[in-house]
Amino acid sequence: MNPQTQTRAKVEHNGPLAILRFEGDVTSASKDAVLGTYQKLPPETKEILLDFSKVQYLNSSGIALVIQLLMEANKSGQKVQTFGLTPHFQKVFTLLGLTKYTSLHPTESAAKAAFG
Amino acid sequence: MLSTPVWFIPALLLLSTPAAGQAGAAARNEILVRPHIQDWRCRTGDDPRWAQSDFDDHDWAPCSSSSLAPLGISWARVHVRLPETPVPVNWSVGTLMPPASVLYANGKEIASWGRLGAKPQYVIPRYGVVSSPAFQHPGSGDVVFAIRMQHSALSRVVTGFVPDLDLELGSESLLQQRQEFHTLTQSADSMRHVVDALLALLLGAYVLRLWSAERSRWEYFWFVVVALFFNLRAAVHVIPIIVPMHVNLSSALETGFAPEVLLPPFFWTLFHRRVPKTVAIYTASIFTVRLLGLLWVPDVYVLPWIWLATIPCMVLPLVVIFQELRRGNREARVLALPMLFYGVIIIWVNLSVAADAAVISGGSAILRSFIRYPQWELGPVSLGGIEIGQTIFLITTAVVLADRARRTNVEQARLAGEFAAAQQLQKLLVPPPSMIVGQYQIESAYIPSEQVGGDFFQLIPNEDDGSLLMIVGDVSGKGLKAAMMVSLIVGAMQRIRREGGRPVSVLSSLNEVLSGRTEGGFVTCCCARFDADGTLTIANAGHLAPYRNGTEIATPPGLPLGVDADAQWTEMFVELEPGDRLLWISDGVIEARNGKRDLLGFERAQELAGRSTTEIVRAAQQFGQEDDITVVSITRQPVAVYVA
Repeated sequence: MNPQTQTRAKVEHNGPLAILRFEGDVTSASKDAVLGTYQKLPPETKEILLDFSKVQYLNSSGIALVIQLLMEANKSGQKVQTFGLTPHFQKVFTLLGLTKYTSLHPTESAAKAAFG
Repeated sequence: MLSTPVWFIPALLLLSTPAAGQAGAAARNEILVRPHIQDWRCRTGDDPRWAQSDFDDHDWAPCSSSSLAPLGISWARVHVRLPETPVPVNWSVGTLMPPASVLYANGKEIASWGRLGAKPQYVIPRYGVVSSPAFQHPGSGDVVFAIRMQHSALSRVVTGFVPDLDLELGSESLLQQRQEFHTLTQSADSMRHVVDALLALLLGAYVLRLWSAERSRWEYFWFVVVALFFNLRAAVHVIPIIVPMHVNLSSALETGFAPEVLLPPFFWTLFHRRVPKTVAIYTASIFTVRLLGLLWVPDVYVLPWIWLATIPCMVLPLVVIFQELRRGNREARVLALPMLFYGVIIIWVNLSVAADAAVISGGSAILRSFIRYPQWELGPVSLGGIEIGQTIFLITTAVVLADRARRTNVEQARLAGEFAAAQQLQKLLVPPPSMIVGQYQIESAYIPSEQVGGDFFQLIPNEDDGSLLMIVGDVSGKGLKAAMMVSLIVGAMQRIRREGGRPVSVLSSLNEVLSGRTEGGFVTCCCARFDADGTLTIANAGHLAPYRNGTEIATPPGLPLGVDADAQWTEMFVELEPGDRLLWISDGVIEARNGKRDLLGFERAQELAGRSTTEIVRAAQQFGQEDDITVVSITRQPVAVYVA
């Protein structure tokens, strides 16, 4: 069994844009870091950028948290762009059909540009 | 410096009472001159002439057994007339000197203890013998002994209320026996602490073993720390018998290593309560103040406040115990009376010590006359109420913890049995590892990462049209919760089996069942229909795409089940040739991780896709299994061609 690193989340606000930068492994223990951080965003947040560039591993429970975030954002009419995922998890996100709710980008600038 | 033999304390403790008796008997058979406290004359101040034998001290006040030793430097003198003896005696002096003092005989310094002056060192008194001191024998005249001593407020706590002017003369052999007697008595007195410490050591070791098996049980941890404090406090009592120890350090450590201070976190965690912040801050503060307070402010006036401030440490646990008692807690019923006794004793001791300290620091003696330290003398051993209370506390709480560990073991055994039953049941839900259905040969392997798992695999042959429906999937998470979800899915599949249908309708039906029941999780699922003519129809709800003859099939992406009640999936069609092999793996394969935290990944999975199910499972396990592993291969068997 590999040791898990605790998930940390930093939030940066820029007008209607909020950048959620995750760090560490995203697992079932990451509920506060993922959903908790999202749910604390101010209501005026319309665009959300998910930064996974410092995340090496997401297990199925961690992905479930990301899916919940995407679903809630979709219901709230917020746009979500994602960048920094490793090629492995880009493929996993694609197989899971999550690209219906968020586009996957290689860089932060590409992800920001996708908001238009 | 007085010479004192180093004793092997444990041996002394075992032999203390009879040996002490022998030493006392020997002492009675020889001449011992021991001036009474009333024979001493005391004076505050300092003058080197006061050491001289010819100094006239008739106007000095007699020392009183009820008087406090004065602060700063003071002197005490005594005139001792040595009796005429038939046999010449080579007189030696035995003495238990005050913490910082110098002993003179006829004006000559013969011994010292601690250090006097601007930077005094107060050392715990210990009986010592000055062999044949160089005082001039005045024949039938007196020997004048003078003690120059220095006291701080704190050193008076150690010497008590009476100035410690314990001096006696006799032959060296007799005084060696007296020294032995003193050491044994001191050791016997320490034995009460050692007995509690040994008990705490044994019970602490036992509970430490429990804690090492269940690290989440903080009540075990706190009991171990409490037991450790019992041992540290006992060590503070025993060490001065063996080596000189400073009064300030001894007092600070004895006050600091108070197990009672740790009772609030112990009892809070014992009853599975979160320790309130206020209680945690209070406990940490009182612990720090007790441990470091006397080192920072080494004066006696600090003591009453420290001891009074410690009383809530016992009151708070009692409150918790009686709250639990009102809730009908069985363990609280066991603990209530013993802890009430222990609590009352601790509060009593704290009040009595606070009262003593208040008197020493110049306060009124009224409170002290009402609250005496609860202690009884049994021969050379002083038995204090606190020792009885501590013993009761240690035994009662250890019994409660042991019973809790026993019940936990029983519960774990029961759960293990239920898990084993669930494991057996889950095995029944998984198709056999090798089977042939129609023209398809199926090989499968299912290795949960725990006793039960969240992967599933089902085959539903349709005898009417010769088709075969297969679903393979993975519930997010693992363990019993995921396994229960698998049971729900397999149950739903039985209904779908009767309905028949296409892969997309199977996924929709399952999604309907699972929507609102996944509690934030999801279920990936790939459903495939193998028709008799070799047509393969696949619908994929977020599961890893299958491999056809080692090459990944690009299935249309689709949301997993249980996420969106309105989710839709699309089907794709593949024409299978005889000999074609389809392979499904679960994420337990691609997300196996090695010691460097590298994932097995898609590329290695691709390389493994041509191997047998057993080889793929073995490769993933060797890489580092973290999740349930399922591998299913379905091969369309070559059609036999008959040649006429």
